[in-house]
Amino acid sequence: MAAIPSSGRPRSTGGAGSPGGAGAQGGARPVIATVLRPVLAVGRYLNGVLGGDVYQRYLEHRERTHPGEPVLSEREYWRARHAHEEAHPEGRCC
Amino acid sequence: MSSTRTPDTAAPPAGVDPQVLEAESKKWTPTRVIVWVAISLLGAVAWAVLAISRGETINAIWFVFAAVCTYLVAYRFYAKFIERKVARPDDFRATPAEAKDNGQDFMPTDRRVLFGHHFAAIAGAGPLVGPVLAAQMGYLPGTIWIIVGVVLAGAVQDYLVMFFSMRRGGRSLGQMAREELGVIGGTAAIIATLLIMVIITAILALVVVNSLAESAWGVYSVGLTIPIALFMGVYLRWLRPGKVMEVSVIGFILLMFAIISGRWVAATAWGADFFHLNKTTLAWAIIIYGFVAAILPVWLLLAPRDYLSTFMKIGVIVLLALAILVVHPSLSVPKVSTYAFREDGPVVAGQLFPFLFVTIACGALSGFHALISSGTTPKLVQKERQTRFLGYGGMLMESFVAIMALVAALSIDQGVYYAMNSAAGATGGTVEGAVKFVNSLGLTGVHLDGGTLTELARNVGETNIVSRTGGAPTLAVGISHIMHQWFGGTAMMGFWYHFAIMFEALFILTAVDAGTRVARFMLQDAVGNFVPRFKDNSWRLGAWIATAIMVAAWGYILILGVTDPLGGINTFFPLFGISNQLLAAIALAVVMAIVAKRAPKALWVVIVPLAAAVVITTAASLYKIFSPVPSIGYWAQNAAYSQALADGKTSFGTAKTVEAMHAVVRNTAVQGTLSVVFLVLTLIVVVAAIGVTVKSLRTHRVETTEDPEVPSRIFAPAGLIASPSERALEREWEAYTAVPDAVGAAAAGSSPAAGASDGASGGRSGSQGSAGDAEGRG
Repeated sequence: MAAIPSSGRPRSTGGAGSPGGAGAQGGARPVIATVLRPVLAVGRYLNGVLGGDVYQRYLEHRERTHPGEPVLSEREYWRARHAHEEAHPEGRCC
Repeated sequence: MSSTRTPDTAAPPAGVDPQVLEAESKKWTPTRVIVWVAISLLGAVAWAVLAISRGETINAIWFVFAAVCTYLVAYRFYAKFIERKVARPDDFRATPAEAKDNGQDFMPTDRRVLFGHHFAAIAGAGPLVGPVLAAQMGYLPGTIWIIVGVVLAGAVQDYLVMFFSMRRGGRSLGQMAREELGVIGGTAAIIATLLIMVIITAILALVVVNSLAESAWGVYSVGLTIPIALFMGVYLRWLRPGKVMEVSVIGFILLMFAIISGRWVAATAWGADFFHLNKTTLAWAIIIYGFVAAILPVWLLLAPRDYLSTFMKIGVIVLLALAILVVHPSLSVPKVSTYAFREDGPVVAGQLFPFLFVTIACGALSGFHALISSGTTPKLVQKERQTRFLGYGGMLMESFVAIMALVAALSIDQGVYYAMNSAAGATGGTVEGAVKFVNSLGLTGVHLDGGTLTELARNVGETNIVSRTGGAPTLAVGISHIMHQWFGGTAMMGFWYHFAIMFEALFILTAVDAGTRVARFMLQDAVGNFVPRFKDNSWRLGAWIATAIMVAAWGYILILGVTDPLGGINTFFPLFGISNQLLAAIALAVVMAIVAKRAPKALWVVIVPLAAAVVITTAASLYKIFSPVPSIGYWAQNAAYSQALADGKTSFGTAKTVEAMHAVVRNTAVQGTLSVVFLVLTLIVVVAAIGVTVKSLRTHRVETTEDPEVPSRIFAPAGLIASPSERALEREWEAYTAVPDAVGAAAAGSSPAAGASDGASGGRSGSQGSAGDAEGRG
């Protein structure tokens, strides 16, 4: 999603990775922003709930803890993540 | 492992000074007083209307007001009390997510996002189905139990289990049970959990079978979710990794197409023929599906379907809440129906006590949540004080879903309700039979004519809606009844009906698949104590054997359910509720043992729900085991049918053949045995917990099973909305992290994910220590 900020900048909350609902974002798109902002915010929120931002957060985590060191590519990260889920299944409630 | 930088003393504090917070929460400004008085008054009025209304009908809006106002007051005052006296969270202490952050399963997550995530994991078909069945007793008993139950029991359990698991590095309920209750109590808890997962999976599968049987439209559109999910899985794996939102939107559009095109397919001769499956065939299809899905790679089916399921869950619930507010239907249902005091209810047998309380489990008190609240969510919590919002608040949200399901079920005509939910043995499965049966019940204000049933069936695109038990079809009719008044009129009823069926089937199938996987691991772990090789999860054959055993276990109960001459859901659903509440009793027993050590004076907070869960489940189990009334007591039914067989009868009750009579004898024996086993296991756990609790109260034992304290170096507000002092501190942190030099100070306890190597990033040298390696704790 285009809504994900692409820089690995650190955040005050040390991992509030998914920029949830409230608009903490600076106004990058001034014209259509007013119309689009709530829609994008909902999109970002849902993306966070689905876990679509975990790679971004992984990058931020690496940047914070091991800056400058190599990281997994997005493809590799997801493979590792799914392999992990394979070995650590999570229940879904009734 | 930790950052090489020295801790930056200039960093702002990791939490607001507790005294400031305390003063803030005790400061009653005039606006605040007015707001809370208004909320309380509105809630009181709504409850009064619900309780003393004498009119023919009651507006659904009162249910919403009574629920929401009660939740707000409970969250603000009772949950706060529990926070202050029992949990005592400390924001200066790092959560496991912060301390063990590995960019994977331990990751501090924005509280609002985690709320959605946690809610999607706990809320499924349970809160939707139970209230529908309990609507038989009238609207008031169910409403009171859902709302009061969640405030005093369900939300307390979820909150405290989450908090204590968080303090223990995200340990699972089973592990906490073993630590707190010793070997016997802990083992009983693990066996009970395994059995309960089998029962719950079987009965959820039964609900799906009942809603899809003989429905070409339903089978087609739900069946199509499998190729859709496979496509999404492949898309994410090879085409565009990580584009979760994008693929979910594509999947959702395909899903809508599956629902819409279902009408066309079901209208063709080949479609109606090919997708028209009976219950037994469908049950076998789900059993085979369950096995295959549980051994397929996660990325191929489970993960993508989970996205669809979450998407639908949040979407439908928001839509339904808006629709209830917009349409605010009038409900013509008795406050308390005659079946609250009778033992022969056609939907669920048994009187209000204890059977209301086991029919509605999820939504009021659901033990299964303890499995999610321990383990999964605690590893993602950013700050300790957020657990009230996540645990208590998340469960309030599920309760609200249950209230909406109740409203939807109550909004349909009472005659139709009984026609849909009475067993086929009573109605014969035909419109004439249903009309005759429902009108013979002699309920005031209930009169059914065949035209209503045929017309409704045609409107929702089904051939027949008589005896579509299990709750899901009734809820779908209710949702379509409410939604079509808002969008699309009668022409859209079929769409909304199948939209609702799809929504339930999706997350039941996810729960079946995920439940089988979790149960398989638990089984491998248990068997591994005797045959060590089974502990090795990467051993394919062992995994397949364990999966097959678990599928066979729930599949057996599912087949018993679909072929049950007495109706299936009616006889099996109580086991679902009882087992779910037993798990709650186990979870609360573990919580009690912990609270006895840290807050003995507030122990009643745990004792109240624990006592309720124990009394309800023990009473319900005893009824199910010892009641001489055949419709209630499994063994009484068993004896009646055995006697009939011994007398040489070839037909008895709703069983029309000797074979069917044998089936009843077998089913009741299985059900009766399970009831006994559940009861014994729970009593063992509760007795163990009482023993441990009394011991710690006597000796003032303070040793703790918590993980050692690690100082926190991040900050985030606790609730949905930040308080003034939290906002001020947030701004301090923003200013602090804006200074480049300060970066890294927040990097307390790092982790070994993606270990360093001199290879170029993105290189495939494999040395990047996959993020999965970071895992080592169970």
